Amino acid sequence: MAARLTVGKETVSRAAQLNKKSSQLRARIQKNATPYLFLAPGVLLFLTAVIYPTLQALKMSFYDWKIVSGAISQFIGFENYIRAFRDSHFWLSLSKGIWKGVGWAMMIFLAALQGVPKELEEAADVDGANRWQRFKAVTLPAIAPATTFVAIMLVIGGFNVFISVQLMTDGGPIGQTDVLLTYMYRQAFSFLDFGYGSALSAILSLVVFAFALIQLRLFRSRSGEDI
Amino acid sequence: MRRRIAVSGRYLALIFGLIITVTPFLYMVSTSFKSQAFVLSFPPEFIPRPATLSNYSQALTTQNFKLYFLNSLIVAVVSTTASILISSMMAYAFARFRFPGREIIFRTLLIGLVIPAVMLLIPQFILAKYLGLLNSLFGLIFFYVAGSLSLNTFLLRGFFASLPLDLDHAMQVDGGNAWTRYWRLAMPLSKPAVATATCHTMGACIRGLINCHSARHYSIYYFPALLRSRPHCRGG
Repeated sequence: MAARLTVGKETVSRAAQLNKKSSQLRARIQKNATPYLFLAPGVLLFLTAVIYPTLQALKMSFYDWKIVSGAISQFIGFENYIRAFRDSHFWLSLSKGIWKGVGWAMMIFLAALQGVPKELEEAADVDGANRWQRFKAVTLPAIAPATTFVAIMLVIGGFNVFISVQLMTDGGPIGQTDVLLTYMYRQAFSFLDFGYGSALSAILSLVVFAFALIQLRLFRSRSGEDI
Repeated sequence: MRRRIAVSGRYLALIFGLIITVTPFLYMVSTSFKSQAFVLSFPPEFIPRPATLSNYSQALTTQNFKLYFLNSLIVAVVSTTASILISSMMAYAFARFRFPGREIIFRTLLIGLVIPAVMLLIPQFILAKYLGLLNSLFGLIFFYVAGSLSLNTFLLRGFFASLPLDLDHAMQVDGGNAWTRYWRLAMPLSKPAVATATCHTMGACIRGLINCHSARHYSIYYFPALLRSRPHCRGG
C-alpha cells in the first residue's frame, strides 16, 4: 500500500517534472530565439540588397568585365588591383578626403547632449568646477560614444564624397580634383571598365573599414566603454 | 564682463555654424527667383534683381510637378518608416541581448557603412531586374531601406545601450516581454535618437530623388533612373 502510494507520488512528481522541464525548455528556446527574431527582417533585407550585390561587385573586380550582354567576361585574377597600385592617379585621388557634414554632426551631438544627466553637471558645479572644467570632466565623457560615432562617420563620409565633386568639377581640370569615387565612376561608367572600377571601390572600402576599426579601438580604450 | 565675453563667444560660434549651413540653402532660394540670364552672374547676388516668379509658375504648370512630388513623398515616408522600424529592432537586439553570432552580424552591418553606394549600382540593378522591382516605387523603397539600415542601427544601438537596464528589469518583473520592452520602453525613451535617424533617413531619400530628377541624362547615375529605364550603358 505504502509502496504503491510512493510509486503514484513518484509518477505524479515525475510528470510534473517533465512538464516543468518542457515548459522551461520552451521558455529557453523563446528566450534564445528572441534576438534573432528582432534581427531577422533587417538581416534578410541587408543580405539580399547590400551584401549580395557587394559580393557580385567583388567578383566583377577580378574580371575584365563586359557589360554588353552576350559578351564573355574574362577572369584576370588580381590584374585590376595591380593596375590600381601602379596607377599614380589612384594614389592622388585616394589622398584627398573632404570634410563636410557639420549640421548633421551637430544633430547627433544635440541628441547626445540631451541625454547627459543634469545631476552630474550640478554635482560638478557644487564641487566648484567652472564651465570649461565641467564640460571637460562631465559632458565630454558622457557623450564619448556619440563622439566616436560622429568621428567615424565623418571620415567615412569624407572618403565617400562623390556627388558634390561630380557635379561641381567632374574631377577636372585633367583629374586634379578627382576623389577616388569620381575616378572610379569615370572608369566604370565612361570607359565602361567595370572590373577596374569595382577593384577601385573594393580598395576604398577596405581603407575606410580599416580607418573605422582603428578609430573604434582608439576611442574604446580611452573611454573604456563599449559603443 | 567675463560673462558677457563668454556669452558673445557662444553666439559667435553658433552664428558661424549657422552661416556655413544655411547660406547654400538661402542662395538656392534666392536663385529660384532669378531668371536664367542672371543665375550665373558674377559677383553672385543674394537679392535677385530683377526678381521673377516665372520659375515657380513654370514648375507648377509645365512640368509634371505634382506626380514627382507625390512620388518623392510616398517613397520618403514609406522608406523612412520601414527603415526606422527595422533598424531599431536590430539595434535593440544588439543593445539588450547576448547571443551567438552577435559580433559577426554587427561587423557585417558595419561593412554596409563603408561600401560606396556607386559600387553597387550595377549588381543592384541586376538584382532588381531579377526580383521584378524595375519601374516601381517599391523597388526604390526596397533599396533605400536596405541602404540606410547600417547607419540607423549603429546610431540607435548606442542610444539603446545607454538606457538604464533597471527599467528593463522592472518591466520584465511586471511581465513585459521583449517586444513590449522594445516598443513601450526603449523606443519612447529614445525619441531624440529616433528623431535624428528619421530626419537623416528622410533627407537622404528625398535628396536621392531630387538628384535623379535633375540629372536625368546620367542614365545610370541613380536608382530612380536605374529603376525607371533600361540601362543605357553605352555612352552613359
